[in-house]
Parts: sequence; structure tokens; C-alpha cells
Amino acid sequence: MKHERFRQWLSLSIYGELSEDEQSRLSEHLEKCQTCRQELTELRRLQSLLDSNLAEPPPGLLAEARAQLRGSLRAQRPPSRVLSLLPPLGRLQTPIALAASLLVGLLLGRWMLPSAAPEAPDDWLARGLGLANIQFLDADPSDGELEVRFDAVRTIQLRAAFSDPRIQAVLLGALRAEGNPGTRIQAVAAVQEEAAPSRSESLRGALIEAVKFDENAGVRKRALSVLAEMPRRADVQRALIHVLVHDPNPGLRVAAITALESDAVGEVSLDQETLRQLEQSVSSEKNDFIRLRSKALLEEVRFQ
Amino acid sequence: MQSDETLILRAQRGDVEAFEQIVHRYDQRILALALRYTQDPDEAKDVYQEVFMRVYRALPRFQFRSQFATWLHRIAVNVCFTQRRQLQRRSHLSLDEPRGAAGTGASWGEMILDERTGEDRVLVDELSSQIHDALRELSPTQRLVFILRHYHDFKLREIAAMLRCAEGTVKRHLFTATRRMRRQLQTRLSEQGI
Repeated sequence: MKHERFRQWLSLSIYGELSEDEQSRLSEHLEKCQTCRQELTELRRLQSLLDSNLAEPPPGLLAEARAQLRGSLRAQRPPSRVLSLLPPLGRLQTPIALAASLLVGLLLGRWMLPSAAPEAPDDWLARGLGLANIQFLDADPSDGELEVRFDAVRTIQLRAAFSDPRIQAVLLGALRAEGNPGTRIQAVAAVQEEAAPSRSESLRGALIEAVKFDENAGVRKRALSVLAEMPRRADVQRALIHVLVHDPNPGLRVAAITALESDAVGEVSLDQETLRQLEQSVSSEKNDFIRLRSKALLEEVRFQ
Repeated sequence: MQSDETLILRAQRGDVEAFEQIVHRYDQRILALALRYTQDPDEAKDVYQEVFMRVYRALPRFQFRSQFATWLHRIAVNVCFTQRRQLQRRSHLSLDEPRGAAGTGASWGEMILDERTGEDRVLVDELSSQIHDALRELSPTQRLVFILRHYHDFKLREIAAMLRCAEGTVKRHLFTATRRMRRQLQTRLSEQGI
């Protein structure tokens, strides 16, 4: 048997989860293997360490939780009435309606229409809403309930000025929530094409989020190029430094250092936090080219 | 002391006091599970609330096919996972970032410490903090498996039933979680030489 298998058995052994036969084979192996003996000792140390710290929840927290629960229970019907059998649809209706109201509200109400009240499933069908991306958050019916999440969508076509609040809301939604990276790039490009003054604060925030957190390097790159052109403010500078220190893509880190260099040349001051992060980049950057440029920038700023 | 079964039967007949007794018998464990899993007192209270409201609604249909504790923890596991998904949907919220407009500006990690060092008079020492950090490094499933096995003493086959997966999968999670916990706490283990 492979050594790795015995290593796995060590973890199971300390919790008494091996069969007699497995335990006996492990014991035989331990007689011959110093590494596994050492590992077993360390695992027992770990158990002792964890057992020495079995703090229970703070009493105040438990009291708060109980008080909240009592309040919620008072608002409920007594259990005897719950005993009356609800029709199956009745049990499903509440979570579905809640999920629907959330998504309909998010996709339509919040962006374009007055906020929508929870609707019955029949209403969605009547309004021509399609259901998509259905996920079972809780598919276990043992407690009598299911929890589902889905998109209730209707196709809407809109042509309006860039500054139109509805267009801005769609751009914001595309930047923050659209699953297709191609669409997110298109949204960034649309923002890039528009004159800077009309970019709203929320769009600016969404661009910063995209630069820092979007999983797609193409989206981050495009958003970075927009930010790099923007009037420099502390939040933009911090986003650039975030890319320099954290982005896994060296091309993006180069673009970030280039933008920061132009700040230094343009005598835009770098704040203390930015300088600290820059120092971190100098010490942790593995790419020689970027590290040297970061170092040069740091020296230049300090010289100023 | 009345058995779980007696209390549950009374609660099923509408006896609110019996329901409260059964809650108080288990709720500290559920809150501890939620706190270790979410690492946040407010989130833990939300999990607690949701778990027992689900229990309240479902108890009339509980038919004693499993131990009440197992059934209860299964619901808790479901709620923990649901809660995690809801947390993930919050935009870019991380453990190290400020809690937003309504928050105090303290990090999530600090909030845990603040909560536990406040009026509740529970001192969180360095070791607690290190264990919190180590648990945080585990994936949600690894963390749940580890918490349920180590702190709640459930057998792996019971955990597999709660998670609706194969026992082998749970074994792998436990192995990986243990290895990562050991790595995370290596310095402490070496220092203490327990």
C-alpha cells in the first residue's frame, strides 16, 4: 500500500474512524515508518492544542440569539396549527415568491421600474417572465421546505443617451453582475468611449471593483486602461497599486506601474498608504522588470 | 430530565414550553457550530435563528427516523451552506475588509474579537485567534467536516449523511482539513511542544 494512503489513515485513526483491520495495518506500518510516527505525534499535538481551547459562544451572544428566536416564535402560529397539512404548493410558494421578488426587484424594479411586490408564480407566467439559472440552495426536503434561486427575466430593448439613468443602471449592472465577460468588456468599452465628466461616481466605483476583483484578465485590463486615463484620485491610485501588488497577470502589473509612473512625473503626490504598498511591491515582486521599475518609482517619489 | 422524544412529542402537540426546552438543550452547540463556521457573531446569530425557525416549522413532521441531534445538525449544515452562498453574493466582501456603511470600520476578524471581548467577558486569547485564522483557511466544506468531527463528535458516516455525499469524500475532506490546520498552527505546535 502506498505511503500516502497510510498518511490519510493517520488523520482517521486519531478520530477512531478506522476499521479494526485498517488500524492493525496502520500499526504495522508505524513500526517501520519513522515519518508516519512523527506525523502521528504531531496530529495528537494538534488535537491537544484544539482541545485546550474549547471556548463556548459568549453567554451574551446566546442570550441575544434566544431573545430574537423568542420574538420570531411569538410572531408565528402555534405548532399545533402548523400540524395542519399545508398543500404542497403552499409550502413552496413562500420561498419561490421571495426569491422571485428579490430577482425581479433586482433585475427590473431596481434598475428601471418601480419596485415590484412579491408575485405569485402564475403572475410571472402571465407577464411573460422566463425562468433561468435555477439553483437549489436547499434541496433537502427533510425540514419540509426547499430554497431555490433563479432568474426571472424579461427581454427589454432600450436606446437612450449615455447619461440616461436607465442606461447608467444597465452599465452598472453589466459591470458588476453580468456573467459573460464579453459583455463586461463591452460595458467598460462603452464607459471608455464616453467623455470623462459624465462618468458617474457609481460607474467609477464599478470600474475600480472590476480592476481589483473581476476574475477575467481581459476585463481587468480594459477597466485599468479607463482608470489610467481618469483624473487621479486616491481611490483610483489605490486601485492601481492594488493591481501592482496583487494582480497575477504581469502585463496588468506593468500597466499599473506605468500609470503610477506618470503620476510621479506629473507631480501627483502618492499618499502614504500607496507608498507603503509600493514598498511591498518592491520587496515581494518576482518579476525583475516590474520590481526594478517599482524601485525606481519609489526612489523618484522619495527624491521629490 | 425528560427525554428528547418526550419533549418533541409534547412540542408536536403544540407545547411551546417543551419546544423551548428542546431548543435550550441543543442551541449552544448550534451557535458554537455557526460561530466556528461563519467566524462572525452576527452571521452566527442569523444561522441560529434560521435553523430553529426551520426546526419549528418542520418539527410537526419529524418522525424519529433519525436522532433528533442528527436531524437538527443536518438542518444546520444546510443553513450554513445557504448562508455562505448569500455571503458570497455580497459584493466583494472579505474577512479583512471594513463592514461597510453600517459597520464600524473594523475588519470582520476584529469584529469577532470585539464581540467576544466586550460585555460578554469572554477573553479571546491569541490561541483562539490562531485557531480562528486556521479554520478560515479551510474551504467551507472542509471547515464544516472538521468542526462536526472534531468539536461536535459526529461520526464520518453521519457527516456524510448530513452533507449528502459519500463517506470517502468526507474522509478526504477531514484529511485535507487536518493537514491544513496542522500547517497553519505549526508554529504554535512547535512553540508549545504539547
